[in-house]
Amino acid sequence: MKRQSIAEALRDGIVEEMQRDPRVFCIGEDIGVPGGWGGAFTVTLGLHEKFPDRTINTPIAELGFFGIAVGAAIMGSRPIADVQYGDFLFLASDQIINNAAKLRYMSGGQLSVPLVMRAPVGATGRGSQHAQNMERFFTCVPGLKVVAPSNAYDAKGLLKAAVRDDNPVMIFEHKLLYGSKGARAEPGAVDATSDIPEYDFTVPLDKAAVIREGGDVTLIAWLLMAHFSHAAAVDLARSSIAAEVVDVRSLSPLDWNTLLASARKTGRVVIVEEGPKSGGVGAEIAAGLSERLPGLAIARVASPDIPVPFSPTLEHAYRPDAARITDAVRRLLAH
Amino acid sequence: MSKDNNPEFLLNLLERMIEIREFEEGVRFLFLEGAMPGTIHQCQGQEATAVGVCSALGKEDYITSTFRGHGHALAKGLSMQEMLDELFGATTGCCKGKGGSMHIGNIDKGMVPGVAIVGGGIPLAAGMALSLKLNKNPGVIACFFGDGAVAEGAFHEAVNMASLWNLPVIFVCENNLYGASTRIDLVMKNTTISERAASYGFGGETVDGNNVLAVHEATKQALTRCRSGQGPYLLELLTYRRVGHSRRDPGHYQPKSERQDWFSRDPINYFASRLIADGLIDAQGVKELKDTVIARFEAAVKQAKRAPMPTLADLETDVFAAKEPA
Amino acid sequence: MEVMIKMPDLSTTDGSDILIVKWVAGVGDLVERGQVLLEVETDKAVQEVECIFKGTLTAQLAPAGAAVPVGAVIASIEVER
Repeated sequence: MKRQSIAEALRDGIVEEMQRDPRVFCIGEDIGVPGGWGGAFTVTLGLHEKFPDRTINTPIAELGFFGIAVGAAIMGSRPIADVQYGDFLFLASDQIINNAAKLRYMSGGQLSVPLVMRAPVGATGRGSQHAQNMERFFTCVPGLKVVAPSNAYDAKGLLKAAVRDDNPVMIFEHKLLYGSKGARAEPGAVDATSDIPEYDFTVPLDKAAVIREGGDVTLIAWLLMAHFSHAAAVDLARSSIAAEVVDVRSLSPLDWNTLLASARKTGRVVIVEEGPKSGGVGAEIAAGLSERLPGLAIARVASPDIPVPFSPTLEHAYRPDAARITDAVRRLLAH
Repeated sequence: MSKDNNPEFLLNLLERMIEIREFEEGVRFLFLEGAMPGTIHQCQGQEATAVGVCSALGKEDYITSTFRGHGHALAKGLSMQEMLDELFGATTGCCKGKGGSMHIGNIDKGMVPGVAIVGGGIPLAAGMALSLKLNKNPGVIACFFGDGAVAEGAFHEAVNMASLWNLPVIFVCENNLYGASTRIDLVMKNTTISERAASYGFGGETVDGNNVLAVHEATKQALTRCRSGQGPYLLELLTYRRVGHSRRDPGHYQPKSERQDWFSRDPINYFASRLIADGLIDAQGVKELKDTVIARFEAAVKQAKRAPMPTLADLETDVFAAKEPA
Repeated sequence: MEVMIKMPDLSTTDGSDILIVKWVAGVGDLVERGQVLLEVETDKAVQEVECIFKGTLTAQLAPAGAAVPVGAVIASIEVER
């Protein structure tokens, strides 16, 4: 057992999968430059020395190399493609949405696309084009699986499960949760480390996780917001409000069993999302819960409907925090 | 005696081209009759490009195609039956009725179901070639696309990486002078497409796409280059489509004089005349070939019209692959 | 065997009627598959409607100048079997 950050756990997970299966390869920008960064957040550091032929460093061409990854996948390779910032996924959208997600169905099951795609998300002082939470643009695409780990254990387990799955899986990682060190450390980073076992393990791609139990209200969140929701729950406990926190983890498909069990138990749900309130993943969760449990009290805490601002006070206002979560809980309880 | 002079081989090339022409014409009339659902993008006039390229490929080679893929499919070895069944939307179609005309393909016969987004199949082909190379597989990918696709960013990014990594892919550009209704000189200043390969550090050439033997020979040479690790090749084939862009397009943007000029260089008439002149077949023999193909087509249509249609039980299958045992 | 010929779906915008510009084949003419029967106008473009069957044109059932919907019967052909 060792304590690891998300970046370290992902790195180990990728190395182990590449050792386990020679079909696995990594493709992305700046991932395999000797003396380089190991990708923008150090996850692939050292990979090139271990697997020189299977760490493919690309030109700045997201549409092209994501398409190349899809093509390799339909021939039986198992690529892990990544973008440096989730915002760049838009460049690759046609290959992800029109090809990766659809090739199996429109071929009548002839093709499968065992492709893993990784993308860092979240606002971190870099301005609106390096800051978006991108999950919502892909959870709505039939044919894609979407996961978002909030801690190192889940990150490693989901990564391994994704590599072993025969379908296109998108893994959204939060920049403030990587735990990158030294020159790549992020101001405002949150501790997402976990104890990582020595043995091989996976985490199922379609399950949410209850990370704190309680009977008065359910907080539903993922990535950084799962941590803030947990902090809010600790704070609420001081006022004798017992909040249950569910880490959604699998954004598509949603684990309705776990979400519903909690919603039934507490009767009140606050969905917390970093990103504009309109049209988010939270909208889908709210609608789905409401259909299945008419009369359920639901509130959403999310960012305003604006591009991500730069100035620290504005960015701080953009990003939901524990205080805003506890406020929403109190307002819901007051009804 | 080279394979090129083998009468059986040459007559087979003719039959393959006639098969494409009669299939496409037959499908066109099924649409006019109102018997077929959906839409079609046809390739009459472009038979020599499909047959010339595919006849040079081996069992370990694959092709990618576009929404205009019926000719490629027949040339690569798909049956009229599996294609007609697909066009009618039947479960016995090559894509179980879930793809339709623009996504015809059969991976077991070496054809990826068509990608209908212009340029969308080009990175795919490069990626397939990457996989072959990583596995030290001697196969090559032939990637079909039109002159219109060359303007897409996907073309630029994919050929650059294919060149950079010496991927075994032949980029086959069927230049029929029109991207939908827009003539090529309205979308680029370059006078040829093959010259662009040099700007990415690899080679290309422009070939008469209506001369099936010239296409076949150029493909053979490109295959040799690819298999020896020299990297990709850009094969520009000059050709012309006799029909509109899609079924509702009368093609009025093609000037009459241009049409007549190209029709006088029809790939099937040209090759048949050559074979007749060389004594391999006579006019009656050509007619018999055509009649046999038409009879096969009509029998396949009869069967396709009786083929089973998908039910609601099929609606949500084939979205995801089942979990592979670890 | 008499077969009714319907206006094919040639319009580029769904739902619009198709104008018959002029008949090219006449009643009583022998017609072949691929032969032009009539000219129509859709979306300001004149197109030719080809014959599907081989036989004799026995009747023109919509006149030049008429605008008819897709699928409307426009002619009959005595098909050669």
